[in-house]
Amino acid sequence: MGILSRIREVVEGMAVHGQAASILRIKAQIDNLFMIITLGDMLGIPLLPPYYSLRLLPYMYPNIQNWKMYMLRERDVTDRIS
Amino acid sequence: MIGLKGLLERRPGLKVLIYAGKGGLGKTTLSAASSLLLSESKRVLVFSTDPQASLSDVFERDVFGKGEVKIAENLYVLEIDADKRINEYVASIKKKIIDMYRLDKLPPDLEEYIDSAAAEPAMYESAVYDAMVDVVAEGKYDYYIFDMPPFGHGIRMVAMADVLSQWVEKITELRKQAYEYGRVATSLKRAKLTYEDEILKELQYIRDRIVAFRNIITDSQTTAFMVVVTPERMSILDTEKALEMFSSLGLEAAGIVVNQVYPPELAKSPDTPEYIRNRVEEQRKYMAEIKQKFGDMVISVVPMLNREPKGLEALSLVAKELWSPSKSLDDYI
Amino acid sequence: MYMGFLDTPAPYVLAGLVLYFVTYITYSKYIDRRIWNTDPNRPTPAKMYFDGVEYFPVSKYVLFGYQFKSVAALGPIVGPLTGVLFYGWVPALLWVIFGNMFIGWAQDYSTMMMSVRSEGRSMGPITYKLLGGRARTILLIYLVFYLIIITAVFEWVIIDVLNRVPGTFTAVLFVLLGGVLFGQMVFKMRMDVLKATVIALVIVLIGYFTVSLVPLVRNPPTNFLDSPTYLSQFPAPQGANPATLTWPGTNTVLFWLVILSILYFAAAVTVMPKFLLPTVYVGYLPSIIALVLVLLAAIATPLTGIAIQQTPVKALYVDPLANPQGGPIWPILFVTIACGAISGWHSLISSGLTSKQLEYETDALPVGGGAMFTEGAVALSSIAAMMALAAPPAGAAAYVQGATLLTTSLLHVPPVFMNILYGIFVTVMGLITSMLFIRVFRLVMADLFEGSPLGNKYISTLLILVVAGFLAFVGSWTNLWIFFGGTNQLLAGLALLLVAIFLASQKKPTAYVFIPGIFMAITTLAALAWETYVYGIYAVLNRPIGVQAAAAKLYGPWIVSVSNYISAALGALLLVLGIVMTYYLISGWIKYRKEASASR
Repeated sequence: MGILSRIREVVEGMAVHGQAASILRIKAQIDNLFMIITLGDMLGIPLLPPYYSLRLLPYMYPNIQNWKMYMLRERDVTDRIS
Repeated sequence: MIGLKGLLERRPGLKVLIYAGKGGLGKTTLSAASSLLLSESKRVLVFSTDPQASLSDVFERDVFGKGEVKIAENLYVLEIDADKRINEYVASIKKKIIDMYRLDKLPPDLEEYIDSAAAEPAMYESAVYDAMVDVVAEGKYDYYIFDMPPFGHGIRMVAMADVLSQWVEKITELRKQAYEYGRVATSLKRAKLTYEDEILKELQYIRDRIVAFRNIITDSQTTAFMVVVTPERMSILDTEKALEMFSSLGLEAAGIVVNQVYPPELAKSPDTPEYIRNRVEEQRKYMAEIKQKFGDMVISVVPMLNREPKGLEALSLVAKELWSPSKSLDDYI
Repeated sequence: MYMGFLDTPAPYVLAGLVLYFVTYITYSKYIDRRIWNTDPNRPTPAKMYFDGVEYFPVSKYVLFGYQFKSVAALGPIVGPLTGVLFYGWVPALLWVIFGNMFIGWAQDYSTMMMSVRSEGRSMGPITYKLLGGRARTILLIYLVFYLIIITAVFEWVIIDVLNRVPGTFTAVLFVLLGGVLFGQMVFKMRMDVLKATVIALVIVLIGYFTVSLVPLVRNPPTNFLDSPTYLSQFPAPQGANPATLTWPGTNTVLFWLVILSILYFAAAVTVMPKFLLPTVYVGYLPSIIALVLVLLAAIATPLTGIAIQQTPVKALYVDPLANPQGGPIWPILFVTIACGAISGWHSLISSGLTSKQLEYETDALPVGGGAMFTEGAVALSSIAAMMALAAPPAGAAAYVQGATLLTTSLLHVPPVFMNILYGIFVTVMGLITSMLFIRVFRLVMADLFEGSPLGNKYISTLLILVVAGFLAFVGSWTNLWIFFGGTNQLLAGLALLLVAIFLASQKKPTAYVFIPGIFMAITTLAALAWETYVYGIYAVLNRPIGVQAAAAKLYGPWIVSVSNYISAALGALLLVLGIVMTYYLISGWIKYRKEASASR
């Protein structure tokens, strides 16, 4: 990796990374809501008829594992310092 | 009683006739009979999703899962093998996931989830309604006659439809919001988002289907609900409840058909066994109740035949009474 | 013009950098390999608990930038400033160099590794697991306290710079504008990030050049709310022109405090990506330039002819009755200069997000240790900036003056350009970090006071704004800086001791963290005790501490005694909590060590 791209990454870390992290967290909360509504019957909360929500399943598949990981994780106040 | 003939005269724009009511009351027979009648002048499709495969029975011809089968001139029968449809649908979803992500096979918990969703009655219902939307949308026929399966009078989904379409709108909004954030985050990091467009397309599709179903059901110009009642206590109570439910949904039943009625002459014939005579007596009570409670809504009384209503010949007897009842309601009381 | 090499700040800065480098490749690497056995093949939490939101692997260069930005604020600037002025540049230099070499990087790196080996958990849960709920609560109470003080301190620093470096406010407004617009462009208008950045930077540059080139925009001085006669009533340093000063208790200070509070409140109530974070983004770009420049200029001093003007060693003891920030050089110097040598805040950052995103265990050293050494470099350049000043003005503007001096000699541009650049740098850094601190304060309050009104987002924000604002207004922050340093460094000591316990529980040697941990704990407890004593004396003697006299003139003498008694009580409370916490830690360490040797 060239020295220039390393410098670019350092600058990215300083200026952008925190912002991106914060945005991703917000997005995760919205995604969670979406997941619950569409695939809620996975948790026993049927909202959308499964006949239709199954259509969305293929697109949600990569997120499902991540979603579970993220939502089930215990989070202390010091975890949110960033 | 104006009979089906009278009903059609009053509602010239009618295209869809839905027979609702609890199971075992003869909805299938009546739908089949109606289709026979209407096919005399127009192209008719009679459609059943009852898992008991009753249309095949009634027409004495195996039409189950065979698509639109021509029974007579202008008369087509469609008996959907809903289970097969669901299985094919579920298999296609599974295959899609496997193909999209190049998996060897589905993770077991995901497969379990899909299979259990497929086994739910809600799945069956949705599949049926969806098939109905397809058929009507194709527009190949002048009349569509539906024999709805007996789940809560089959129109729960109408109540749900508005709520559901709002949910879908809400979800779409959420999705777009998340997309906004994701787009910024990934563009800040020069990464890419995947499948957003497809998800939004699917959400649109889902909403359209739900709304299409609702529109068919609630358009009183084109759609008429026929409630089937028999002269028995439970049936009358059920029908009252059904009518309440209809009105609470802003719908109305177009007509009531009283089915499986003993011909009153039986009471007068000396050959009639005692128990039948008693039954006929009892029946008069209920018929009176029916007249009192439902009055003008009753468009026809269909007497019991002396044999099973199967086959085109027997059906046409039923059809005649349905079309233009030979007696009046009072004759039965 | 060539000067005697040793008469310039350069050799000392260079010595520091060289020593850091040597430490990194020898001592730090040793600890990394031998004690922690970092293995690039062992999966990190980023890989094991991947969730695409917090836990995912990130390049070590990006993480280095992120870690550095999160730990370095105005700390390495304000701390050395006071240290040099009170005790001389030699003690300050020695502490920044050796403190970092043996304690600073060790804390940052070790807390990061501790978190990595604990499934990415942060300080709260780890404290809870190793020491129990009470210890965790004490930790959070410290946080609450020092967040209030640091907000007050930074408010003062910003106000000082805004007032004494004319034109800063206008230029900073352009930065904020650029930030807000960037947020709008990227979100509402869905513009490409690169394009939006360029536009935002152009706005910043417009502001910068307008202010630098147009005197009318720069002047008048901003203490327009106070008249010279009014100002002359307040005790001011000898020879200082009252008309250019911002003194605690004045209307000018109040004015700026109100503006800052409104800004902070706005940041608190808007969604982070729409205001706060784009401002960080836009503000950081000129700041990086400022930092790099001052370091280069410090090293280039032999060529630019900047000589050391400050006294090497001023005093080993500063009489607290003369100056309440004074005391014996140990422990006071060690808590006065915090970030740059060692700072507890860093342990929270290392174990916060960074540990969850390390791609390989072996990245922890360059990211955690590297960022700390870099911060040490920043502190070194701040010391150099101070060293170059003969008669530094009291207050944070001294840094701006020093940095301007160094960089103008290097770049040969009119001083006003550098003046504005460093004015912007200090202000923007201060604003950004204060907004983040206030956010953390909110989170911690919400945790500590769950369910009660104090935990409410708006109430806790108002609380910190009012309390910090008050402290800044009456100037009490100057003394509370010692309390800040005390709690911050105590936190550092506690973090080190916590790592020692963790290592003990893993049956590993603990000396390299235990000894510095004990040192920090003792030093800071001594500093807290000392400061409580000083406040106590002032309270009993009913003497105003320096700038309290100004507030007393405005509001009555009761301010003096109330303020001092409260401060003394606060000091006593922190001392007690600190002793309790240290006790938990040491007994925990002993317990785990016993278990470890028993099972051998």
